[in-house]
Amino acid sequence: MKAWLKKNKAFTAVFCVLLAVLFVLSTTDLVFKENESRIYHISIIVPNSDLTEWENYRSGVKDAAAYYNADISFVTLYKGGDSAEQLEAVAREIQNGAEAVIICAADSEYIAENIKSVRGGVPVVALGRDIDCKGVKARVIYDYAEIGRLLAAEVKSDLTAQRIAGQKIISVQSGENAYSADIITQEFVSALGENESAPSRCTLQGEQAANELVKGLTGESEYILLAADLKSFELLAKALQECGAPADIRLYGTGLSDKIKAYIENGIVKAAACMQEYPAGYKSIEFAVGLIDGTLKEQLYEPQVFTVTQDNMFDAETEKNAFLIS
Amino acid sequence: MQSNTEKTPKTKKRFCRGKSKEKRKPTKNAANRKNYFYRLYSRLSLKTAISVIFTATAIFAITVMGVSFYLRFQAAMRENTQKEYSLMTAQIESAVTDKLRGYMQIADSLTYNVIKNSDFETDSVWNEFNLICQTNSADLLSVALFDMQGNAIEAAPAAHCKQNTVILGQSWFEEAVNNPENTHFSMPHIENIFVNGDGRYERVITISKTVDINYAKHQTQGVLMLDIKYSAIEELLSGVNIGEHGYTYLISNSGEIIYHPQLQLIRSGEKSAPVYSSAEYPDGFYTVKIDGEKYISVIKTVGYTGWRIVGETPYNAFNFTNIKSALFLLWLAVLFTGILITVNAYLSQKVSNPITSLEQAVEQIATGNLDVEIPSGGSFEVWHLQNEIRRMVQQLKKLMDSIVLQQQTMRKSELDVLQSQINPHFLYNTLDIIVWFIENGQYDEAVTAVTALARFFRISLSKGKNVITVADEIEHVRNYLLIQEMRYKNRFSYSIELSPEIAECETVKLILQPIVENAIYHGMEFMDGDGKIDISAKPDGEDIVFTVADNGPGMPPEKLEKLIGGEVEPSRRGSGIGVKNVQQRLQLTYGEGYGLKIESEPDEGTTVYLRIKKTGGESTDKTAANRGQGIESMA
Repeated sequence: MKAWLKKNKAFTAVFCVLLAVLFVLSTTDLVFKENESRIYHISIIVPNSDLTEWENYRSGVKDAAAYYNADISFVTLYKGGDSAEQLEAVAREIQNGAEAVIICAADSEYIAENIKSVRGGVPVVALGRDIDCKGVKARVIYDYAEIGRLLAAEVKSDLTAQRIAGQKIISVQSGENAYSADIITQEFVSALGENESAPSRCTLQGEQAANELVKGLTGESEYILLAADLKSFELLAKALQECGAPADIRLYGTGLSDKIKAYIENGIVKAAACMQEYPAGYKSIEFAVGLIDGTLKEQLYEPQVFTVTQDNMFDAETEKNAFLIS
Repeated sequence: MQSNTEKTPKTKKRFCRGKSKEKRKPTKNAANRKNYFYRLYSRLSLKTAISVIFTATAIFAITVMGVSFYLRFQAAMRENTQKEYSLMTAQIESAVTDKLRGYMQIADSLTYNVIKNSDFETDSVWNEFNLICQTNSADLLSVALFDMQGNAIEAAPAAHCKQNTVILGQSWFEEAVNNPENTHFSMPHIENIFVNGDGRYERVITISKTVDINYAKHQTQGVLMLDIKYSAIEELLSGVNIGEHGYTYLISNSGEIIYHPQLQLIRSGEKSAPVYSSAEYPDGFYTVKIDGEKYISVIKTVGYTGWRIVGETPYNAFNFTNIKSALFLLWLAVLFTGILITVNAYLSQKVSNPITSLEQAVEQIATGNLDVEIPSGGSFEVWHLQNEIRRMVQQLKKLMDSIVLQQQTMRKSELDVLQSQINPHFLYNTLDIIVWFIENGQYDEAVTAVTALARFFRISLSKGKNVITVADEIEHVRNYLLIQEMRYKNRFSYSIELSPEIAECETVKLILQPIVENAIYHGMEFMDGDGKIDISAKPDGEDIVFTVADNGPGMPPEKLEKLIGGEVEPSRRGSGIGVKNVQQRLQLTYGEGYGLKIESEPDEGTTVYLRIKKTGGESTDKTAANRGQGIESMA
């Protein structure tokens, strides 16, 4: 036997090496790591100063995080809508160990120009609006224009064209997401078409400002108030309720919270249009995990937009989107 | 014998039979010739054939065993997992059933202990309803009693219904009215009947049943409603995972999802879920495809409601597809294959080596080498074969020795016969000369002649030996010439030249004298004192060449041919040994390539060359000097 092995030295050597390699591969974690519960560290940086607007999105994020075993860090800004602060937050999160960053840019151009210097190879998922940057491979893009169009459609279904023409349109926003507010307003006005008056634009800085705005409008003319973000939406709805819900002021807006649902049910809010934020949140995390693992290359997700009115609020279809199960 | 001692160089053969392949006669079977595997097999050495066949068989066996083991292991694993999942689903089903039974007991308790015993004309059951709600606050959101028109009679803990709420037409209410015998469980929905203080929208499952309502003067019917918090059902199922990526959920009898851990994703269309209707999917195990991925589903029906617990887990969980496990299996397979190859190679070597050695020995024997050593060892059959071949070789050797002996004996007999042909005339003639010398008083010449004759015969007889030294052969011919010179009274002269180094070499005796005799009788007899015979013996490489040259009348070619062909009879006056006799003896002794060569020119003379093989005679120069005299010339 020894002689045979000596005679076939090459075969013996190759065989021993093969055995050793296979043994190492199959019994150690040197190459194939098994049963390792990997935790993905993902940061979500939004342009808002609080998370009111992101409640439904966070539900999706929470479920996805549970499924993918992700540790999520939600970052808001001290000063809502500040791009420089947002960029700093990105750098800080990456420094703190974030493996992927989901960013809803306050100013996508600024972020696109500057993120390269801070991201250091960490994958970035663009949320809400696109970031035209090489490092951004996955996108969850909101169709803000569609929100504007759907709200306009609701106005049209509520009022005749003649009445619409006599309405004054005021677009209200909190200022934390000016980009989306502008698009919504622009599309809303454009879709209404026949209204010749240019919309007034107003930025609310709290309840008092909302109350003053509503009080200022009462009795003068018929108004269509367009709340271009959830924060201003809730403020206006509350102000209208406190003013006794004057019939000449019609409130439409974007975003959906339990408060807004109650206002819709009470008739204070005529219609709310919003994204399917739950799947948007879920997909954001799914994309981020895919980018971390390297299994995802280019991906785009555009959540659907839906409207909630007093009439369709408890319909089966609307209920699916408006009342989350999570 | 010469061929026996020659050794053929050993040819190494490993996997190809080399020479034996050439030796092998092509089979007449055309089908076999065409069969590639047959041809391949026929070219393999025994060792390779054994090794390859054993290894192939072993690998086949290992593969079959491995696959069988793998499939059996897989089946057992699936069976166990199914049992485990089945048990888990049964436990969940039991928990859900208990929960629902508890709700039904609350409904029954309210029906029979509260509503039935109350006179709604005067009594209020709010406290009882509220107490039930408080007691079961974790599960119960609200309890209410409606009349058949959908008006609220009593509701707790919220006292007021929302404006514009229409009860009639709501599914839970309609079911209770239409089927008064049963307790109904609705699908989950948003509670939108009562005004609650916190402004939240609660998802509930409504239990409804028709109850009798007593008024002082009459009895009527109403619908009892219990709103069960969705979270109460959710918590039973949310934490239950089947396998690593499996989950459990609850569906209605028609397949609508009541609870699913990813229900919101399904509702938004980002994930799909199969519709397990009870008609198509009775309780049991199923394989389904969800979003392109294969899943195993286990379905178990919950008692009374017809709801169904579904457990789904990716099919991969049932498979033994882990990369490390596969590598480990591969490692085992390689290990066993390697061991088998090694053992097979060793065994085949062990079996084939004695046969290969034997084959090589037989090949040597076939080339004539009977002294080759027959190897020993191997299995009994091989050992037996070796012994038989050894015995065969010994018999062959004996046979060949006996043939050689026979040939030698035969040759000796032939020589004896040839030597016996020496004619007695020579003796008579010589004795006549001696007598003549004595009668004439030439006593010295008579003594010389007698002495020469005596030496001549002594060497002729040589104690019966056939082989004598070259020196003796020369001495023999010298004595002969001395006698003939006396007889022919100096008609010719002669010279003898012997190279000293071959003096002690061996030669067949009486080969020169017949040639010289021919030269005298056919050449010198007619010479008148100027005849000359030159005799020499010289080495020529590995041979010795004797030359007998005379200056006689020579002979024409036709006579020369006759002489060589033995057609010329030896002279009756001479010794009686002819040229043919000499030629036969030389060729018998030394073989082809040796013997006589005659060159003759009419009127010029004749030269006869005798070529023999140089054998024996490791003579020293001294001996040679003593025995041979160099060139001797006599007139």
